[in-house]
Amino acid sequence: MECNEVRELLSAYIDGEVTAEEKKQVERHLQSCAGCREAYGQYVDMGAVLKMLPFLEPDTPLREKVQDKIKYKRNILNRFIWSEWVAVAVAMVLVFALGITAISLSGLTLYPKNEAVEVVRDKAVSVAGGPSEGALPDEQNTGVLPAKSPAKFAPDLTGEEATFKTTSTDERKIVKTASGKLTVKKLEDFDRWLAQELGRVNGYVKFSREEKEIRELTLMIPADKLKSFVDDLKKQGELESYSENAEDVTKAYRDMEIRIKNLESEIAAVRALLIKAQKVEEILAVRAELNRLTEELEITKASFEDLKQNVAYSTLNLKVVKEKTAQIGEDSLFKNLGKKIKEQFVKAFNNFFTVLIKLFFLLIYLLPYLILLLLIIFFVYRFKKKKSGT
Amino acid sequence: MSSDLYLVEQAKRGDKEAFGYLVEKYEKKIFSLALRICGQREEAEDLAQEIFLKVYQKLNTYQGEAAFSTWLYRVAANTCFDRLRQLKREMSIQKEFNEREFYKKALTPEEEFFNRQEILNIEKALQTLPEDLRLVLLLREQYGLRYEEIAKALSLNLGTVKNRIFRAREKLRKLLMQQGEGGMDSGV
Repeated sequence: MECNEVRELLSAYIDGEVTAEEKKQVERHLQSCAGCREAYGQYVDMGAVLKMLPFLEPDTPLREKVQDKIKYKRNILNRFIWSEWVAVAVAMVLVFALGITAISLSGLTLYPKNEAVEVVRDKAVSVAGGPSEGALPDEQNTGVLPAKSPAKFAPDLTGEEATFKTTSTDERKIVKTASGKLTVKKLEDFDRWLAQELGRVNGYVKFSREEKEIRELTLMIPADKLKSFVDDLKKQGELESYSENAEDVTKAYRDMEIRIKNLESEIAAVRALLIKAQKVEEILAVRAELNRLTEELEITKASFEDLKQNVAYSTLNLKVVKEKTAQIGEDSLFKNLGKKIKEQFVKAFNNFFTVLIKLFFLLIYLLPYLILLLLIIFFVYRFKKKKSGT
Repeated sequence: MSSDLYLVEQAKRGDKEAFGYLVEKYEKKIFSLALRICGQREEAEDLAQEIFLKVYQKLNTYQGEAAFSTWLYRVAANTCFDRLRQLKREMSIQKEFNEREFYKKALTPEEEFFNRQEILNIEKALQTLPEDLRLVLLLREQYGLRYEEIAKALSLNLGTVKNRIFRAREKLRKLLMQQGEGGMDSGV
């Protein structure tokens, strides 16, 4: 091994920073090399003197000087912290404002708009004062809004329809659907009562499924009798989770009426053509058209009858169970639980992304202010740094 | 928990006295290091102050992963080298060893009696070593740091530390030998 190589190891050897193998190598070399032995001695002597070097004292003790500066720095720091708090407060207000704006934009809460609709609606009903008004239960105002509310309906009217508005908006066409669960003591008593009651109100059973202790029924009750029917129903047992839904189908109703009228007059006109037609082709063409129109009229009339029926009769979906047989699993809360969770999940994500997109647009809108804010923070920071640097 | 760590924890919580103790405890070591690196008393006092202020600012970043002193030397070394760079730019670096800069107060009688000339010789030789070599040698010999601690303090790898210490020793040895010859020459 060369002396030069050994010297580096020698240095580490003195500091006790060599491996056992290296230690052996160094010691072996030292035995045979006088030059390195001399260097070793010099290194050790140098080390002894270096270890003896005194730690020198500054002219004035540092403690006070440093502490004075720290006090000063801390004050600046405090001020900065204070201004940071202000910034945090401002940011919070900003975020709060942003959030509110975003939420109102996303249409998550539309209370003010809804209330406005309700007011107009109430007025419309009270002005109309038609027979359906009495049939409207109190819950309806707080319940689900019908698909076509009068407030929206009125401005939609155009041309031809507008003339109908003056002649026939005095009567609202409402389709009511109700559902509930009834717990009774004896199903036989209930069956007997139902037969009697249906006779009284002139209603009928549209669908029924009977099991040992459960009845599932879809009852059609004349709209104006629904209230008295439900009142009587409550006396038969315990009525749970009862809900009513009212759909205003006035527009659809009027549309169908007009359509039927139009079809009828068109058919009359085509019939007149049939009398006048002379060529076979003409007769055939007119008849084909007549057939088409007649068919369409039939279909429209059938749907109109359906709608009329729906308006005239309220649907009541009723589940009747014998007392103590009610099962938690059958409870409405747990029914379709998976589906409900899925729906809520999708709804939540839709809302989330809507808000996110709105927030993004707001961010762009607020960009100039944000840049200004950043600039201010930057300069405050620089000012602070400069101060602390001195 | 070492007493340093305890004082650091107190200082982090805003206990000024605790930090004061730390300054007091390390002021000589830090001042000496600064002085031996930059060679000028006034500059060294400024530096030592700056080092302690930096330490106070950065106290929260010290999590006790190394000894407090190691961490302190790291801050000290970085601050000294930053200042050296500045001084070199301004050409106001003092290369020559000036006894009065270092030993304003007289050596203690013991130091005086036994080693005065030896100490002064080695101080003088040290001042002619490149700063990076000077620093590792001082940290090893005077401050008693292990290679690993030096590596940590200066963000170097072990091999570099080992090599620098060797180079520092070798250079210093040669310088001292030259000095010896020169000294003899002047003595004659």
